[in-house]
Amino acid sequence: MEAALECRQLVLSYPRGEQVGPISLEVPRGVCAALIGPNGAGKSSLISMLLGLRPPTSGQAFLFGVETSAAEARIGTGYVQESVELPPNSRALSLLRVHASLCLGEESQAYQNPSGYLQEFGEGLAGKRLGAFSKGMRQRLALALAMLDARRLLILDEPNNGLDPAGIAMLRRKILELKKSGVTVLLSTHRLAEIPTLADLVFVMHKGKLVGSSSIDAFADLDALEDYFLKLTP
Amino acid sequence: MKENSPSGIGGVSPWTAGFRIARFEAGEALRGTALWVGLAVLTLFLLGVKGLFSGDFVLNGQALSHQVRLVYFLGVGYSMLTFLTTLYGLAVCVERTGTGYLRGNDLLLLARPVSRSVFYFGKMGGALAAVFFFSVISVSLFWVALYWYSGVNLYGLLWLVAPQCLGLAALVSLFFWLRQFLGNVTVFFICIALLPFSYASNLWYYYGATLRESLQTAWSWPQFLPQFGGLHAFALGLVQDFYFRPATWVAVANIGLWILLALVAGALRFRRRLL
Repeated sequence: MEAALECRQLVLSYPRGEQVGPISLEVPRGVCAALIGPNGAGKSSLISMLLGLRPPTSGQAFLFGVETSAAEARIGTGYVQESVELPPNSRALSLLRVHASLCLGEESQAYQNPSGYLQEFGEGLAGKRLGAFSKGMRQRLALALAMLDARRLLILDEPNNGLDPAGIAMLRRKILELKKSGVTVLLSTHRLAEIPTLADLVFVMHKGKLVGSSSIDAFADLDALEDYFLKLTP
Repeated sequence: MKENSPSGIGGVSPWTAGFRIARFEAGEALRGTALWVGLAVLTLFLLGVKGLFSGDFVLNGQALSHQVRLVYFLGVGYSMLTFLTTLYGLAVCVERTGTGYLRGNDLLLLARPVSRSVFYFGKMGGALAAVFFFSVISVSLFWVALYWYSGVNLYGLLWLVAPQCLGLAALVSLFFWLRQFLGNVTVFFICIALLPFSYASNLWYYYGATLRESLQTAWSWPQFLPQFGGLHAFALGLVQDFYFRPATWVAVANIGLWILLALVAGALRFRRRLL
């Protein structure tokens, strides 16, 4: 069976000479992989290439065996981006409906009853204009949009941004539920404390390169994980 | 939720996806303040219809007949409507390709199982739907106001929607194409700078001979640029013989080719664009 997520010598060169890669990695199906690294390590660029949002300069990326340049590769995939900017004049319901109509169809429950679906992610998301949303509310809505169709893969880029403790607990619970149902999760985060609870694998990026990967079982505790991270990202 | 297995994975057809994105984008475009500002200006303009047809106008000691007034009114009125719809079209394009363009929700949509071409055409289709809506409203109100104040039921005016929408399609598709290379304000500036040039050169080409009492003006290179002014002349010729020039079909063909070029080149470029 193909890996959920695979990169082969993936490189992204920026016009000013900076480069991410070459990166080769594989994430098996049904596991949660944490992607960690300092700011500017290239985590978001890697995620963009994995989702087909940025065509790589060279190399290949696959989701469930399909090259990510093909739209079919993203079927059943949910994504939360690093900084959530949503159209300020929209309302959560219309945004949710367009996403539900694209990935689940207009007969789906989320399309027919978007308020009910949004309720799972927090109170008061359905009413206001998005321009009046707090950062935490925007993040909750982004999570709701991502989890609409995360049947195979959920990619989270700094999903804790702006969330209150209740929101963080909700996110943790949702990730564990999805993982239990066989969904693969790629979690890019700076919060190392979350990783032992959620992740099975850890990938470390530094200066555009993948500098380490390990099973979470290799770390006795959070301190061991922190030491590993600091050693690889001096 | 659909079942969590590869065989149960769904997804919608590219046409359906494009239509749904366009529907959402059109809703977003129509929700902005530009529509209300456009409609307010349109109302002010239509009040002018009343002034023109209820008062007495005298030129060189002779009262202007209703028929003559109608000819000039059509020329000036349609030009103003086109100016307004063009401005509204540009406002919609600037807004839809502005701050949130290819960020935020656009990226989330692109992360769905939707191809880049479908997203590109869907996004553009939404802007087009909004400006077509404004065009239909403006021409319809023009016809109603003319009938109301002058008693002339010139229902042929409604034909003007077709050339106006063709011109708007060219404007929007060219805007989205240029937006692949330049910022939205720069593209807006280029359009604002080039549109008067196109109008002046095209209208001189088609109507200049009347003023100079000569044969048609010689063909020149500006006629290879999008002939927005030529399309305007074609539209006026549709409803009034006074404005009719047989050669204006070239402008329609010219605009059609530019739309085709902008759509194909824009979609091809967007497929490889860094987001």
